[in-house]
Amino acid sequence: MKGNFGMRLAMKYNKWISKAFCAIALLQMDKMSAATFGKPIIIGGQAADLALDEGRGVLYVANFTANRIEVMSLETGVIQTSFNVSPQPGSLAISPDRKWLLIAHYGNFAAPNQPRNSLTLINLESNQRQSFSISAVPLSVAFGSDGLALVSTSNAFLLFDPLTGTTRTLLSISELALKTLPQPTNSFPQNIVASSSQSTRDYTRIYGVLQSSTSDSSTLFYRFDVGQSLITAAWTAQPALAPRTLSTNSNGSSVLVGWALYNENFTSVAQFPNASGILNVGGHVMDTARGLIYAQMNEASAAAPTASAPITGGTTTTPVTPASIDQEKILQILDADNLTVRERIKLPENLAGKAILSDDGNTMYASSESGIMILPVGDLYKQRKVLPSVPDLVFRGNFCDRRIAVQTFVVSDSSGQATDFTLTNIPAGVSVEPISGVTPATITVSVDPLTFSNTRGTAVRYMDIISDGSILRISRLRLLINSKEPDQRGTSVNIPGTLVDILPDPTRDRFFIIQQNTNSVLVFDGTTYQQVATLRTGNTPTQMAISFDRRSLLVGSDNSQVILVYALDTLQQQPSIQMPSGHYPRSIASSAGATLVASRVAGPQHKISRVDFVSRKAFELATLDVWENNINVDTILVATPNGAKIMGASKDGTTLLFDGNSNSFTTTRKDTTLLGGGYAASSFDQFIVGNYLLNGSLVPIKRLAADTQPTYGFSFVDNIGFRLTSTSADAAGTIQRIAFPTATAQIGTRTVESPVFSNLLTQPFIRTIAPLYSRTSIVLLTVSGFTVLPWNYDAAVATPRITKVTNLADGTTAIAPGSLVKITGKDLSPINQVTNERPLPTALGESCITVNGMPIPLILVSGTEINAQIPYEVVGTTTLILRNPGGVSDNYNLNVAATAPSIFRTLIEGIDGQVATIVNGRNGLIVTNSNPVKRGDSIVIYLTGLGKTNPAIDAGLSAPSDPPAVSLVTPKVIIGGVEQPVTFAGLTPGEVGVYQINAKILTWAPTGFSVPLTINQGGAITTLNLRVIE
Amino acid sequence: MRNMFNRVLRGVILPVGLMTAFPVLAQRWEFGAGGAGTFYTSRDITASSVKASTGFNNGWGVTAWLGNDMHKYIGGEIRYMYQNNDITLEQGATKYKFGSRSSSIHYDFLVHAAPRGAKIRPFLAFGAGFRGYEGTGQEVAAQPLSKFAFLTKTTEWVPLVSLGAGVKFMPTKHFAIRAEFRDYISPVPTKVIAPAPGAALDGWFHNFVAQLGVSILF
Repeated sequence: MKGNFGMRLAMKYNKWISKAFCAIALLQMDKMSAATFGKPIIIGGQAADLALDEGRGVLYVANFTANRIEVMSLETGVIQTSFNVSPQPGSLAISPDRKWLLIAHYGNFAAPNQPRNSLTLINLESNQRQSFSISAVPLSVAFGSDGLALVSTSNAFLLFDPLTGTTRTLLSISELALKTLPQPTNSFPQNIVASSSQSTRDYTRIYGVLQSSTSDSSTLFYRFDVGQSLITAAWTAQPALAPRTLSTNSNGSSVLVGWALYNENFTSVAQFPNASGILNVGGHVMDTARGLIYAQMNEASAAAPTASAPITGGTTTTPVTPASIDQEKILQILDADNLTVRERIKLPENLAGKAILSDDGNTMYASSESGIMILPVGDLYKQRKVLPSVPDLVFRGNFCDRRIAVQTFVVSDSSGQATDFTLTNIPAGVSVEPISGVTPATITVSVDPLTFSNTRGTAVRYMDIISDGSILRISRLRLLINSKEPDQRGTSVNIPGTLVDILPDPTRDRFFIIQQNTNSVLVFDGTTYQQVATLRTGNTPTQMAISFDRRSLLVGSDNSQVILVYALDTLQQQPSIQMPSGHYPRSIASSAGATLVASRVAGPQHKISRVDFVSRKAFELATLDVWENNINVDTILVATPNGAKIMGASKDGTTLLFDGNSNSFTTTRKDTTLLGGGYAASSFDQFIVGNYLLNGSLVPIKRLAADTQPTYGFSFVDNIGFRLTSTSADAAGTIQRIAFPTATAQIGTRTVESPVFSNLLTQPFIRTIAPLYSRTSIVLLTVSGFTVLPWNYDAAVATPRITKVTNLADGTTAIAPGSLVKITGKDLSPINQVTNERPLPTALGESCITVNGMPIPLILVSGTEINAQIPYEVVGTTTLILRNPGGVSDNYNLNVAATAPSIFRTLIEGIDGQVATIVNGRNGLIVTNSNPVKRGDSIVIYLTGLGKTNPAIDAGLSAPSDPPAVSLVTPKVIIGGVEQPVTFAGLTPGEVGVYQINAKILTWAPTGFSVPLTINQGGAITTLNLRVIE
Repeated sequence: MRNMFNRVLRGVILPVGLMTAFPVLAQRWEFGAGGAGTFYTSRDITASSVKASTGFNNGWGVTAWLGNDMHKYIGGEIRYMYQNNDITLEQGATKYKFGSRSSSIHYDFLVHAAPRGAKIRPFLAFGAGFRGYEGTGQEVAAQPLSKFAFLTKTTEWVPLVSLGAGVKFMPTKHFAIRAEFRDYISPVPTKVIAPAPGAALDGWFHNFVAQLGVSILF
């Protein structure tokens, strides 16, 4: 009865309970919706500058339009007081002893109004104020360590002494044509004053940037080493250096001005790509302790920059596209050395100019649209950030396996909180489960191969993860779906990101790939194809070159004015090569006579420079001998392997040739209006640009293919050439061997996926072929990363033949479901390859195997041996078939028992032959005669063939740890006839197909040198001897 | 029955009598301790007609004893000795060392050349007991010279024969300084130095020990 009453009560109030839950849910959703990072403080005006006084616990804000200095409490984040000052406080600074607050008033009123330029000095201890009228327009103020303030004005740099109220002229400059007041509506202090300065943390150095004319593009940049010298440089930048603020690192060796990062010598080491140039949107601060920059950088619209974008001259440019402020408000977390973006975080509103970091580095105070923004950057790790566990999901279909391919990944919140997420933009043919939820969640992605059956290469699709609760911008997951045919050669290795160049080491068996989105060069071993190093580059690296002495790797980039240099012996960074001001080294080539650089130049003409390795500088060539030094912005250079020549090719069809022996440019031609695609230079005076074969005078002598089959990669090896092409990015690639000097092409061989394409807009020229030094393989830059081809990829391939199948543990034919097996034979795989992927792939190195028609996971493939795992579903008499480019093997009949324990054998240095993999719990070492089992010890026996487990595990998957997978049939461990207690028998967590038996040795176990150890699992027995001692 | 009673009574009364006789008799009991330097002979191990040698490195020891002069010239003592000597296995230029220690307990008869109460008493000693060898080295999966023997982290007790000579010097009535030299003879501990299958190792180790100690007499 009571139960019924409770039920009735619940039903009666069910409606209300539901409503209450809905309300709570809505409140929760509202709380979580569109999470952003940072708290805006409204000041009722427009902030022009900030000064932080942590000793008093306040932030001073120059309210330009309300003629006030707002005083915000750092503790409460509330404007606790404000005081009225003279009109238009445009800049302010606090003295090192925190006694003085100096305010510059931008009173550049045009006639008939009178200028109202002045300085206000406030004694923060006595609250006394003094005003000083000055004739010039004060643009910015900053204190130095000597207690004097550097006042930048429209015609001079002044040193102001707050004790005496006197000024002295440090440097006079030509009168700057500044914006006069009044200005049109919708103008902001950053547009009007458009100047800023910043002292280093120890006040020994001051950097500043001034608007030097009414044009936003003209700026005057300066560095004042306090008590020493003032250095200025006139800058014309297109787009304008924006946001019009600057930030320095703690010792002033690095300064970020608008979108450009300079070192103390005013060399642009990196810049934000695609900045919009809007002065009043954005802001940044450097966090020296963490090596980071927190920046909002308004970007030009997403349209790709055009190579012919107007460039107005000066010394610094970035590609120009129409600007837009109607875009996401994003705070970027960047590396402080080359502006690599680590995270993109949503802001509640735009930053607007100056930003300061607290002394402990935990709080960023920034001017913003409403006034001030407080950003607790030290707590970023506590914020909700929803991310996928992998950047790419790779589905490698193969001709053995046309079933639906399944992969999983985890969506998690890096702060460990439960946060909402939804997967969107799911491509056709792909299904996802669950599609939304709360972190952490394991997502299963299934791909129907039928949808992609017409693509013979790797189809690239994208899927987005959105989250209201996460402060991160949308996370994007790349899906790489490959469906290849048996004749397609090569094994692809996934490398996430934007890959733009590949280069083999000329004297070592390794190769380099530029990963542009991380501003790095990845170094790979040419034998294992494993990554061995990551080299940091400038921003937006474009092309690599090897120095003529073969000791250095040179890396050019599109958004840095330096060439990064790495020693090839040590892979250690060497001093960079500084380009002429405004030169961005996009392409480099090194010959016997010279190392030349083709640069995008912030000016009307793009240039070729020459590197001087002694001074570590590049110098612009006045002329290209009898020709003008005026090249197309999209020009590549490539040296012949013998270093005799450097060939240049431009998108506009121009070609040029530099002779390293005569040290002069010997040829330029223009036989077409458009060039692009692959490029290469031979030591035998033959050159390739796109589909054109050029002779030693750069005369086109042959077309390698029709325009419908563009060359996306070409490489010479002695008198042989390799050409790579494809019909579409989703299709297979085709590699062709070409014999020179006749340029006789052989029939192409299809590769597993397409090469990375060149792009007329963003990258007209590309290299995608790297023949390795050892001449064992050729590495191709392809859509999912790189593809490895055997050197003789086009040789006739023999039909594979299986001669024996044994277990991988003790080499006997005892095999059970889940066993790791060794398949021996002949011509099993044209390439050697080992995989670390989990789950294990069912196709590896162009080979795949089926057991009773079921594809099996592969670990290793080679010509004579394949290591694989027998599926757990297989038992009894089975048929094993191998497929590779050479064809299909004969059936191999295999008997799979329910259980077949087989102890792994291992090699130990110092012991002849193999020893059983039994680990002594006493010391963690393998049990041997030197390290015998002792009565009372615990031992772990590693083996395969213990059969099915609970829970059941799919073949190819790593075994779980919680709960571990336990063998369905418990094995007995018998030593010298005495059964020992078994504490666990099952799959080793994290391993594939590897089982372990944990046993305890009884104190009355027999002892001796050769005591038989027997494992009996359901009648399947394996025995070996081991030494047992008392 | 009476005889038995007398025997028991004598067993109780005699020690009490000895104790009470201290002030009037020369001292008959001795308790002492000392340090030692120890040296071993080596043994050959033969495997496939190839010889290696095994033994112990020179080491150090500490000892303690309780003695009783039963006769004017003859005494006896029970002794404990701890020694620390690494085991060695050597063949050609290859030498492998493995940590080891031993504990010995033995009883010796002492035949003195001077009567009880003399200031200087040279003596000869002989006796027997047991020695426990213990391998203490770092275990490894593959020892060098493993075709000859495996030096093993285990404990093994073997019989021990003790022979030696020394001298007691008594500067005062209740204090003595002893110097002596012993040869401890024990069979090879083949569980600690386990000959590899097919290798031959047997015989005895001579362990020479030079000792210096002090004792109190009561």
